[in-house]
Amino acid sequence: MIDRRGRGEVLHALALVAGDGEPLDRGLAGLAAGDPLLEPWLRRLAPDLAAGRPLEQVLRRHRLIGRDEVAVVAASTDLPATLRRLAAASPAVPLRARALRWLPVTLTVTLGVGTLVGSALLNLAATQPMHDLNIRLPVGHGSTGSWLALVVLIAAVAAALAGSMVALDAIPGVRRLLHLWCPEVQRSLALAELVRALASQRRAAALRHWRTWWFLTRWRLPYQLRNATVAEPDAEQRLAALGVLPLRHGAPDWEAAVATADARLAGAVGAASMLIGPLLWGCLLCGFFYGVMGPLLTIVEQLNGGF
Amino acid sequence: MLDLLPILCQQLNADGTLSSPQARQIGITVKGLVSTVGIILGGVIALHILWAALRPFLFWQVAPPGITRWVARALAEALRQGRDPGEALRTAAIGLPVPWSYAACDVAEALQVGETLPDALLRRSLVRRDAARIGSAALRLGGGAPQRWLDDLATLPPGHQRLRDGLAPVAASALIALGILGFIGIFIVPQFEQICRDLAVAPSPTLIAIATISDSPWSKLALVLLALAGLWLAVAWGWRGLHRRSAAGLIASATAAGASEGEIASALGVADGSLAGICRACGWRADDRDGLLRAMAADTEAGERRAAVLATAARIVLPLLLAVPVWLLADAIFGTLVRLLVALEAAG
Repeated sequence: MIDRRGRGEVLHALALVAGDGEPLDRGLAGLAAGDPLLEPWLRRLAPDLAAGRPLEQVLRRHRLIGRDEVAVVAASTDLPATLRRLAAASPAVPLRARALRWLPVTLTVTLGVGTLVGSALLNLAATQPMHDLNIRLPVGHGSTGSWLALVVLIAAVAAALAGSMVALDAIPGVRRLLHLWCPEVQRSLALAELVRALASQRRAAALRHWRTWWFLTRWRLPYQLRNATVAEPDAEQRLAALGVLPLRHGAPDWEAAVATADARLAGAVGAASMLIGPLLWGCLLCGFFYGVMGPLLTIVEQLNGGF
Repeated sequence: MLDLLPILCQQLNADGTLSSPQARQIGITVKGLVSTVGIILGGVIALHILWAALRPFLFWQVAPPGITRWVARALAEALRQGRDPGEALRTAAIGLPVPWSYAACDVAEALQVGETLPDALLRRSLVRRDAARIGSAALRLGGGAPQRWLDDLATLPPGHQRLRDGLAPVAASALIALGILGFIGIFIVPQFEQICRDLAVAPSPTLIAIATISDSPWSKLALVLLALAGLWLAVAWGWRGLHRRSAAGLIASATAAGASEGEIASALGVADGSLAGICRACGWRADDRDGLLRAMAADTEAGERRAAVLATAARIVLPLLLAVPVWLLADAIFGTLVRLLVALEAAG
């Protein structure tokens, strides 16, 4: 996982130093003298840089770039530009957007947490009376072991759902089913990830995100505009043709592109949160009531089934 | 009620009806969790599809205020940066739902063949008629007036953001809670009724009342009408005062740019050529530009204050209103449960 804190500043600083042509450790030390934010990074990077290790390995070792970005840095013919592009792709995608994309897992965890809290409260308040009733209690009630079993069960269900989503995401065509909920958020998230992938020159990831974003956007554009867009050779030029990728002096302005995509994503997440936020609170509450009422509901169910 | 539970469970254990194996319990829990998540997810997807399908028909006359603001913002930015408005509209179209994305692209094409921006936007129902009239007046005045018109069109009414931030979460929570209560009323209450019928036990009066109401078609119609009224109110609130504010912005920017009172009156179609008369015709009480600016600032402040009061009142009143159906349902279900257990004890 990439350490996003200060990643942008460090990569920008390294780009500046690489552009000046001086040794990276010395240049970074010079910049750190005037910028306290760079000081901790200087302490971490300087020994490896001074030892002459390849830059991509140093950056990867200190989690400043991802695995798929190592090859990009290694093969770069214009290191300052590459580092600036990587720096532009630094801001992390908001957690709420990711939670909305993984909504089934989020719902499972929310329901599960509510149930666990409710059953824990019931166990603390009434374990002995429940045992005195001498009934088969639902999972999670009656003992700590049962409660822990419920924790494992909920975690297993959440993990299974996440695994199913990952498996579905790998199947072309079928993965579109994962875009059915909160499509506006999915669209904006795909664009935010696409812009980041293009900025950091991760072609495979960019193609994947382009396909998702184009699928979720294509019916918004007239036939001629869609065809004209797809006629462009690559995703970068297609986005520029649509005006989604701002240009500065003829070249893409990656920082503005990431900021604009993030602003769209924030708007979409805000709008979706008006429904999903209260829904999650409702799930938490319902889970809590289920946890508290579990044994009683079991009895009522049996009453209903037995007559 | 809790005193009856041991007796009840003894009976059920004697019958062997409560001794299901642990593995079955685990299976039931997993199935319950997965099916609940599936139902909720299905509900979210269904809501999105329903909204996407209904939205063009609900807003067939004119686009929702948010769409107009989105388009106006894109055009205002393009004008400010000296870019082609057609390109800005095509870029904005990507962020718009169907059919307004197509409408935005149509406007871009219409601009290329020489149609004026306000007319093109009006014809594709992206702005209201009164807003388009102000836009035409802005074009006639020229200078910074079109930019001001677009900026005003892109701006939320005063207090709107505060009201949305304060009201929307409460309203959404209330809707979700009403949905849950409706679900309980439609699916759970009849089950209790059935149990009471099978055991020949009279349900609580509150349960009978709730069952009667949920069975009645008039209550469903009332709910639908209430929802539509709420939607209309939300949309109308987004448009309120737009014409008045846009006109004031136009007058202020035109006078600052040096336009004469006659030109402004002619552009706005007002008979009285004096500035006071123009302001009066547009809904403002002001004799000169400074007075108009003061009135606009006071109006904005009043809007913010109103929104703060409304948001606070809603945050207090809505949960209290919601407590009533919650209390009624709890009384109905628990009251019926107590009657069932008493009857079982009497029978046993």
